[in-house]
Amino acid sequence: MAAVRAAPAAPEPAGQGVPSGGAAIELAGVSLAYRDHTVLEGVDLEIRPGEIVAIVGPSGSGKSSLLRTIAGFLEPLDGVVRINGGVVAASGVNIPPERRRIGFVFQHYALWPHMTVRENVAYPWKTRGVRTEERARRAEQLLARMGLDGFGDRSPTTLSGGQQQRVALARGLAGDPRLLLLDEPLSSVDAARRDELQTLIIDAARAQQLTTVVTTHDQREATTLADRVVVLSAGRIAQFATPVELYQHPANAFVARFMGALNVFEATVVDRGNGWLRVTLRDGATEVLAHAGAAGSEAHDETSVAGDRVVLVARPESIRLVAAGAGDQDGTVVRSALVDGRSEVRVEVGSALLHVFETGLPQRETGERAGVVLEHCLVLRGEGARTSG
Amino acid sequence: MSDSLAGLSAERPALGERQLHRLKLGLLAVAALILVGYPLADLLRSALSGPGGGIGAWRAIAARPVVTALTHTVVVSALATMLAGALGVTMALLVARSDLPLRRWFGGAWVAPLIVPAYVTGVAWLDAYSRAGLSDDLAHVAVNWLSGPGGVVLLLALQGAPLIYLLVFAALRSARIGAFEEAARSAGRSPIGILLDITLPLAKSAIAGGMLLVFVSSAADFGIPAVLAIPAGFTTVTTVIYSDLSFAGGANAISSAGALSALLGVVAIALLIATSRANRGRAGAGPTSGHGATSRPLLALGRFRLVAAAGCAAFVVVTTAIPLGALFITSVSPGFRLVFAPVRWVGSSYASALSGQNLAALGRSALLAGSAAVIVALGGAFVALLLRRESRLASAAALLLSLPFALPGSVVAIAVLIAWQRWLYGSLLIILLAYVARFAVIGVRTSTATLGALSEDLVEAARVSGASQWRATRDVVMPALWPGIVTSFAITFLFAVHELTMSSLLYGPATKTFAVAVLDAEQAGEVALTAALAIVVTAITVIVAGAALAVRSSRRLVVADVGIEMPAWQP
Amino acid sequence: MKSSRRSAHPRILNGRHAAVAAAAGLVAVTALVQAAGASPVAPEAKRAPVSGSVTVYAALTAQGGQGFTSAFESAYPGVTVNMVTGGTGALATQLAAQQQSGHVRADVVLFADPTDMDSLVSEGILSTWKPSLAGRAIPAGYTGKGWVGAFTFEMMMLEHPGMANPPLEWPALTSSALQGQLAIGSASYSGTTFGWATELHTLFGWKYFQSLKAGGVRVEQSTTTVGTDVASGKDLVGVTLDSVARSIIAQGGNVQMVWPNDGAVPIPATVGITKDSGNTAAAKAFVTWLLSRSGQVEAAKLGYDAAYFGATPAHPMPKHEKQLNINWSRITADKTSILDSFAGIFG
Repeated sequence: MAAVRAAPAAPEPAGQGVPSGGAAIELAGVSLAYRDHTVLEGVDLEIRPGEIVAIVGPSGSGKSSLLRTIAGFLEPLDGVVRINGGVVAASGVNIPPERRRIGFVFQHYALWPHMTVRENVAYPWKTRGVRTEERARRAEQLLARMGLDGFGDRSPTTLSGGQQQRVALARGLAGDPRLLLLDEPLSSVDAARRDELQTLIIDAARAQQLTTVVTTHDQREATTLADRVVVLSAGRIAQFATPVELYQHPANAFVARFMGALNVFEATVVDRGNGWLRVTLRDGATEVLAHAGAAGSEAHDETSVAGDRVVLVARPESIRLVAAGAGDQDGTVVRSALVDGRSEVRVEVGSALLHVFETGLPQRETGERAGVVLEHCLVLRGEGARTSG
Repeated sequence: MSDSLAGLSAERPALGERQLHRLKLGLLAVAALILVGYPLADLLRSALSGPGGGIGAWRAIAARPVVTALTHTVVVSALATMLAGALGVTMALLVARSDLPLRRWFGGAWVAPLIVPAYVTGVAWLDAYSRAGLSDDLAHVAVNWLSGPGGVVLLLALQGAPLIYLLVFAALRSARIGAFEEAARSAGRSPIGILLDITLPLAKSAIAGGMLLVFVSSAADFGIPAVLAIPAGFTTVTTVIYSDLSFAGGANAISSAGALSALLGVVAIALLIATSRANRGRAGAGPTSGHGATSRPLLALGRFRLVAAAGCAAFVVVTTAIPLGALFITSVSPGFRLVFAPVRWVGSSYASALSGQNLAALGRSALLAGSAAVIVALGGAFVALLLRRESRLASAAALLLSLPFALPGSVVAIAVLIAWQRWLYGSLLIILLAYVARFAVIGVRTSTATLGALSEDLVEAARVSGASQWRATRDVVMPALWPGIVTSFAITFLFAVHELTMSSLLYGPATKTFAVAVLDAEQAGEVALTAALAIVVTAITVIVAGAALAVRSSRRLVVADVGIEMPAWQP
Repeated sequence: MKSSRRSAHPRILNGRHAAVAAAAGLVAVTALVQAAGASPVAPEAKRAPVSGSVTVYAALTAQGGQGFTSAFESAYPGVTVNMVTGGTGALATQLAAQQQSGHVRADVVLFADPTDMDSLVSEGILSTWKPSLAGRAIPAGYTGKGWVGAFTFEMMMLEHPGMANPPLEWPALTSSALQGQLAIGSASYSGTTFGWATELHTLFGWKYFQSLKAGGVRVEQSTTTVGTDVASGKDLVGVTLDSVARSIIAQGGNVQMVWPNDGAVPIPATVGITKDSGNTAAAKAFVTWLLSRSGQVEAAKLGYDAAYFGATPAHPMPKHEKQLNINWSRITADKTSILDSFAGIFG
């Protein structure tokens, strides 16, 4: 039986909590229920030290619950949670949040209105017994890093949303945490300020090699911020991979769609050949010829047979529009517009509406007939998930 | 470094902690039952089966004088409600929908009189408009029917109108109604048509709710009938309870007063249940519209703007300024007639008002009101904290505690008297018990609202920053509670210091409160002293209210963040 | 009913009668008092060594109460008087309630209603002690079991001067000229009004009061308020006490005392001590002082019609003024019904 030690009273210098090897955060078989409603199920996750991980998913998928389980606000029904190798939650064990040495940034800032900005930031050191002048000094340092010099004496309620979140971030970094957890930190910040804040978060995490976990419902944000992304669906991990991996090899249609893929179709295989696939779309009427990735590449599909149900993903930038009749199928241009500096065209092929990106200014006319060639398509099997790569 | 076993402790509260929580809940239940449940239950028991109670008491209720008093109460309250409804809706339309000049000021001026105790208003009006009053002396105009049912209806209506105004005004400010009105306007409907077709029907539940409230509080009112109705021999249920208990009841005084109070209580509860049913169907007022002075008003008064403003100003002057002025002049006039030359004014009635028995009464009122306010404010916070996670218990507690507040004061006082008179008759403690029972809901509701509006995030942020549950409560929750505690202290103090109904039934010769001193002086015919006492009690009320508002607005803590419910005094 | 011509109000003390009465009275009182277990107290009390505080429930005005308090306290410097004034009905109800809760707080009771005193004795609230009134003539009906009459309230009329046809008799109050211009007290609050109402009901029946009600009479609680109503001009005529009238005149009120031709209604102010008094010595001292020469002189100074020693107030009742005679012993039984009838008419 291990000896029980009192929690250290003196603050640990940043970075000391990072173990030499092994996961910084580990969840094994964690499930969580709330009033007969399963929130998380069978979650296995290993986050490396110093890594920035984003958790994405639609609302209700359990991302906040997952984060809060790591923080200690929620107690898992099953499974084990470890931080830096030490068990913080298991059956019969639950170390309360105040002992886990983590920083947490809330969606709605959660700044205490009756304290000044400096007092807010200094609080994590106050609870650990640091003297007033010392913690005020440290708080000022953090505020300066956030670009909030001179804001120390103000009331948080007089600050804008972006400023408040920066204070919250400073508070999250105070107290020398071992991890930094952020729950949808940018949702309550207006669009113009999000970039700034994203940069601040990344800088802060990198500077201290701080293991960081961020939840967000915005996949663009996730891919910008994170080294690896967890995609959650209905309480289960659909895929845990780098952004590139998620883009190139989504595990299933859900992940593909959630990560922003356009032109995702469920289809039934009719015929297959070397590097191409003929499928019938779900409406049963439209038939489409798609070129899968080159042989040898991972997107190449060698195993489906006629009658298989698959998911076809066509990249907008890999669809070529040629003269009518010159492509594998014909379609009608529905709309053509200039968006963000590139030409976005919608083409209708049978019952399918395809998004196509073309370079140059928009030249298509609505109603124009064009030939459509689907290159470099992804073929996914049903909803089968791949393990993290 | 492995901290797997460092400082292990289970998150689930230890067995001892849970037991302590249950113990606290138990104590709370016992306290609530003693304070509220037992007296009300005892009242019912006494009415049904106590000595002189039971059949005898009900027969007494069915006796002619009591039936007359009941009829009077119902008729007067109904008339007052209708008049108050008309006045209140008109005020709300003028402020929220017209281009009346200075309408915000008028709104405040119409609501401000709520701060003056009812019996002071009664005395002031008599001093102003009855025979040998201000208007009689200056203009030979006297309102003879002021002392009697007419006066009671008028003053109850004037007291109820601001309540309806506040409720309807809030409803009219909602964006929902505004949007519908705009649609009808663009369809070409005339303003009056829009009012009748859209505005009033949509504000219907606010109007109905307000009118029910005014009906109940008119039926429960004692101060105005005591001053205006008793001399005319016009009885109401509250005056019968009072006179039964004070000098007319004899040996069965308490039990017959008890039977009458029980009856009044049952009727009041029935009406209140009806009110809450009506409110349940009401959708929330929704976001307030941003329409301010910029949009064209629905009721453009045009040429009549100044006339309307003058009319409103005249209304304020006649209903507030003149009575208070007459009250003041009465208090400084020597002899038996009003004296208008300031050089001849004397301060002797103020000297009497603030010395001897009256000063003692003032001290007692301050002590009782202060103690009650402290108990209610701190106790309410404690209860709210205790019941934070027990939502069903919290609603049950709120319901139980709101009974003594909603019931007429006479009923609560008689209940407390019946329950405690054997041990506490004529003591200050029995009055304190009545005050605390009646006003407890203020403390609990305010703190519960504060806690409800307090995002759990704030507590979690403290915990994750290293604070234990207890420390997080101390550092985050309690500071948030303070403004609510201050507010409930101020409101309770105000209500208790000028409370008359319960005090007049529970006081003994050594425990007269200041409000009772006013009533006594009025009944003893000491006109100048009555006026002086009335002005002193009003001044105290105004000062305390003003101080509370000033303290609130100067606090660093932004009130909006902690969501305190406070009746809006300004539009 | 014919009003009695016999005056109930003694004004002359025959010397010889006084001597005989004094001797007999002393013996009688001593015997009575010995039987009651208290020590005899001579009428003209020396400054007995009493101290502490004494609570007096008195049906007087605040000023009247204050006057008696100051005078007694200067005569007995060691005693503090806690004077509680109010209407007879109000004070009686409080005593009954205190009795029910087991602790009567009054030491001395001074009411304007002999019937209440009798009930208080039978309920065990008043003690049966009476001060020695040796050597003086006690008016008929001014002594009962445990109480003695100290002075007299006369119910009469207070009127605005300069009225065209001022009412001079009780029936005149029902005249239509006084529509809405008349004020009276409340029988359940004010003991003197109760006495007046009883007598007039005996004389004229309840229809008298019904016509008053029809004429829009204002029913105040206390007779003092009635007086102020007339003084301020609110009403032209009021039925109130001579003491109230004198007090108003002393304060410069513009009013006129009118003694009714058919007789004023005299109500004795009755005083006794309570059985459970916490300071019996001081209570007895107060009562004895009230009935002594200095007490009676004080009463007259305050505007009351003193019962003994010929002390007369300012504006005294005219010598030949008629007085109606109330049969108090018969009233006790009818009291509740009289009060109910009054309340039934006036609310």
